[in-house]
Amino acid sequence: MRRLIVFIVLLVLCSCANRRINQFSTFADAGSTYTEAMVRLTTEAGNIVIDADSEELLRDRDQFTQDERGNLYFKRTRALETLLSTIRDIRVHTSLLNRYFMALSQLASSRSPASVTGQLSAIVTSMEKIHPDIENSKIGNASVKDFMGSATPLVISGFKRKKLEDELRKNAGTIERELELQNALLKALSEQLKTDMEIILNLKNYQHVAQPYISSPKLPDNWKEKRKEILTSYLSLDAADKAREAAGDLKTAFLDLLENKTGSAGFKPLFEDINAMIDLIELVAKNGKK
Amino acid sequence: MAPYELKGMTVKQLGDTIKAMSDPEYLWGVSKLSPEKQHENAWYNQQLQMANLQMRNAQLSDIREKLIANETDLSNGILRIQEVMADLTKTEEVMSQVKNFLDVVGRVVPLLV
Repeated sequence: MRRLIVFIVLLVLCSCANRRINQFSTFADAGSTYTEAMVRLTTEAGNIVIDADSEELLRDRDQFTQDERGNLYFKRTRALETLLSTIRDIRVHTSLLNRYFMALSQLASSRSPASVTGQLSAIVTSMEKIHPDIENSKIGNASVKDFMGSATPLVISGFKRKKLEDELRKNAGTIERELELQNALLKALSEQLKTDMEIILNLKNYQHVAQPYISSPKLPDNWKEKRKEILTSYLSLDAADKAREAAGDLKTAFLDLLENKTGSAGFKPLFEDINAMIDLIELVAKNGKK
Repeated sequence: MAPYELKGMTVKQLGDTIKAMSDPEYLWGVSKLSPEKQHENAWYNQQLQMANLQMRNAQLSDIREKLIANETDLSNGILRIQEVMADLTKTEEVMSQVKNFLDVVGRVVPLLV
């Protein structure tokens, strides 16, 4: 009888440990999906920031002398270059995070090569190196630092895989900070994207819808469609509010996993917010093409 | 008010004003103004962009004293500009308050000359 009880207890423990390892794999997949979406978002953010700046420059171009244009053009272009350089750094940081999640997923599997631990250390060192510059950067109206929360105390409960547990005990604190940095970046980036999109939509609305309606003798054939497209695009900008939570959810999922607290909803909220990121990317890409 | 709060509020107001000045209703109002006034509006728009950029990039320690010295004028400027932006058809009133606000911001950070 005692043997049977021990066997059942072992079976339950084993199944819990396996469930947790599976959760780790799902989390690593979610992390990879998030980082892929973030890389795409930064690409579109870079495009839209240039578009919004060009629209602003062109809007008032006729009002200025050549000297004034020169002065404005070079000042604005320098500012734009700084922002684009920050966006490039975000992409590097995000790609490193993606590599970390992929290596972590390998470590969670039963046959991880010995080299994975070394890879993880190298990735963490690279992230730590670029962290200060990104944290001190500014995106649009926001300073990234303003969005950073304080460090969360970590509780790491035991893992079945020794190598995975060692890695988390060694680097989970750093990863928590890197995920918080992503959280701050995504919030600042979503806010800037929303502002840029609103300015672009405002100017398109005026140029293609309001102005022709008020002052053109004949309206273009597609006027109604254009009006509907622009007005509904304003509504779609709500995706930015949902998308900005994805990195925060990723961090929460990571902390829950460390503490073995992942609830029955699993990673559903995280995947929903990543989908909102993808919606936002598609909206921005669509408006950038026109 | 703490200088960092004043800086944050000023940056936010500059951003909101830039967005409001791209509103189709406001742009239509501008198109009905004289060429001189349209030029003036374009100039304010560029000055707002520059002010926004300079204010964001300024280190708080470098502008702290100027923020404190201009706290009342900045706070009043923000309030007045928020009031006037509630009705974007009052184009010239908006322009006038934007000019006043830029005059105050220009005491804190350098603007275009």
